[in-house]
Amino acid sequence: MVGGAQRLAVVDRLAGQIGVWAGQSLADARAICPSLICAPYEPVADQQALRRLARWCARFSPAVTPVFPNADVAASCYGFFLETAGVAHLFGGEAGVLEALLQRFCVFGLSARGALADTPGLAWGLACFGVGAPRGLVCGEGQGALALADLPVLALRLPCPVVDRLHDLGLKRVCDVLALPRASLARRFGPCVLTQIDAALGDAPEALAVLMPAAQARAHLVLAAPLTTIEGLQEVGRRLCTDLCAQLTALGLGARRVRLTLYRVDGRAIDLVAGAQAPRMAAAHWSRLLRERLARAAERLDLGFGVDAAALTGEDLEGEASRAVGTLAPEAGAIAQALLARQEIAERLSARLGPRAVVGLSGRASHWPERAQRAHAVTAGEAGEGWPEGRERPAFLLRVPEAIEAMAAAPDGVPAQFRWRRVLHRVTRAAGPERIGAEWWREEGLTRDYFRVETAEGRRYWLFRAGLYGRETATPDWFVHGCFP
Amino acid sequence: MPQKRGPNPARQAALEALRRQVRALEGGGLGAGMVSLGSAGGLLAQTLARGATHEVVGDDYLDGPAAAGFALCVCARALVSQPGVLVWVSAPGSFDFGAPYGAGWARLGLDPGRVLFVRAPDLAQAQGAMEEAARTPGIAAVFGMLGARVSSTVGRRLQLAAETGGGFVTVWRPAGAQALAGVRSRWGVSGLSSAVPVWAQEAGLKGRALPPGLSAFRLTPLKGRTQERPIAAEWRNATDGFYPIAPLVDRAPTYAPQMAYG
Repeated sequence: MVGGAQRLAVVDRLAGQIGVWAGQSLADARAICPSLICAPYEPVADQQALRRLARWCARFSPAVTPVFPNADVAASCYGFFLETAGVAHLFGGEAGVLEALLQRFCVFGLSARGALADTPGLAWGLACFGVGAPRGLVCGEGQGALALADLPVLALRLPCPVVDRLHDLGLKRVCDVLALPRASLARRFGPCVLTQIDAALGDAPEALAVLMPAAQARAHLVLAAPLTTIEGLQEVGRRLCTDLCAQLTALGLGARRVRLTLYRVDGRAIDLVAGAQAPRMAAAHWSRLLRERLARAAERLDLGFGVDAAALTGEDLEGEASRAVGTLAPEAGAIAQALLARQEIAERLSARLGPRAVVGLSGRASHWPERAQRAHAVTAGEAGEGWPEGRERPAFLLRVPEAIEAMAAAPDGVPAQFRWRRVLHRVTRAAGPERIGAEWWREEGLTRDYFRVETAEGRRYWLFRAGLYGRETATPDWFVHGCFP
Repeated sequence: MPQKRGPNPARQAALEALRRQVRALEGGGLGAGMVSLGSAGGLLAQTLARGATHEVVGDDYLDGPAAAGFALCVCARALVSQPGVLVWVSAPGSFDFGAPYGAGWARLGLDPGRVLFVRAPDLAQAQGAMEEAARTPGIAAVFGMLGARVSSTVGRRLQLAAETGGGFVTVWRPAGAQALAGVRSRWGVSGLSSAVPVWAQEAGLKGRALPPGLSAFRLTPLKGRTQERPIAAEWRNATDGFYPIAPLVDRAPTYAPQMAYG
């Protein structure tokens, strides 16, 4: 919707052949082609989809740069750059990468064009405006200058006003521009024309913002047939771990985290992360963690039609400290082993049960019993604010205090007996009250008078009376809040 | 200026190594602190050993906290003599007397900083997590709260895992649960009225004026020498040991109160 009129934002190739163009009003387009299929333009969703697709393209090469349409640049569209240097041999040459990629896009139902060249600029121009091969153009080494000369000036990704001025002067193709002296080009059109030409020819560098940061250690596995079972993926994980940990060992570094990326055949990438508390490089350790992680994810993992490639990236690389254990004195060795065991069991159980299932308990500076403790992730390794000292607290605290029927001689005294969970408890010994006021800055509440009591059967409970008799309430209620062993 | 002499680290280490050897000779038992409890106390000290699995069960539904408390006391004792953590695994819905509350563990001699608390989503995962922890060398103790309906092999599996890892494994079961097969020992626990401290008796406190005392348990061996009489023991966190509850002699103070004027 532009200026009250509905306009076409993007058209596909078939529509373009009929004579429908982007920017046309919908009414005109419908007049040309009554059977036109159109959908609301959602640029944000499109960007997300492209990003997702770009992540999946990391299946071919880790250096992917998505490109989004920019209204200021002539002939810009959705696309991405893929660096094939160093990975082409895995797919039978550079042409093989391009062919495999375009073939996949065709299967996904996308109309895509691609080109392979020495520089991103030239590849972009060839993909958009190249003639010859219908979808994939490969420009051999050293033929860049020739290929570029043939392209229209639109292919240089120049700002719209510059392109318009070039067109006004009759400069339609890049060869027309190349024939002009460089000094006058810069004077008339600004530095952008020369920059773009130099970048396309490889005389100047072009910086690309890759989607994923370059990994120091990355293992990659392409499968012959798609896998759909967790057991199969666990085996893939084991192999990748062996490969990755060999790289880590060569670097002399351990990883704090590994990221397993599974590439589905239908163009989605799934990330699973397993973390350790200390840098690790042992393949056995990581493959075990990955196995647990995959087993935990098994229920929610949507593998679609299968996974046909996987990559394992080591993140947060650091020097591994645990190697030193063997060199310590026996006593210190036992302590170091205990520390390692603590880390390992926390990592393994977190990978299996989820990070929030394994916690440490630490104190918090609060008088309110429910707030005086908090659970923290073990991996965080943080210290608490300390436990209340000199106060008797139960070893087990009920999440919600349970109401009891208490019979006390005086309304503000200790109950002589009470009924809890349908059992009558006769109080034989008692201590209290310990008066704890509600945290008024947090929420309104009644003051509690806590009593420690022991029953005739030798059971010890933590009771409280909610509300001060006569001041806050006329009929105080009694609750059980915890059990002492 | 004379140099103040601190503890000699080499000497400390040598002593600690000797203590360790003595403990090894004792057969992995948790040792002293339980010796004064008669023959059943001997059984307690003997059977509560590392590298084995022990089951505690409340005599009654309401004795659940007492049984769990007893298990934690023994775990605290295991933590004293060995570096490492206690891995506490709980299965959902098995223990309904509240969540672990670290502020109250000092009473049991347990340091919350040395406890890893694992909340398993179901019983099978809880068993698996316990087994995993028990099998890991360097984990000092494992405490699990498993419900009544566990698989029949879990006792044997935990015992095997404990033998591999060398840790001290205890399992809490609700009252009336079927005994686990293959565990080293099984104890029935119920709460016991705590002993009246001397000062309270001397002050003439009686009834509800008396405050509750230390944690006390009645322990019944349910496996092995079951003809033994139950032990009445109280737990003292100061020494991390069980002591007999001896009834105090009811008598008047032997000394006359000193009257002091000016």
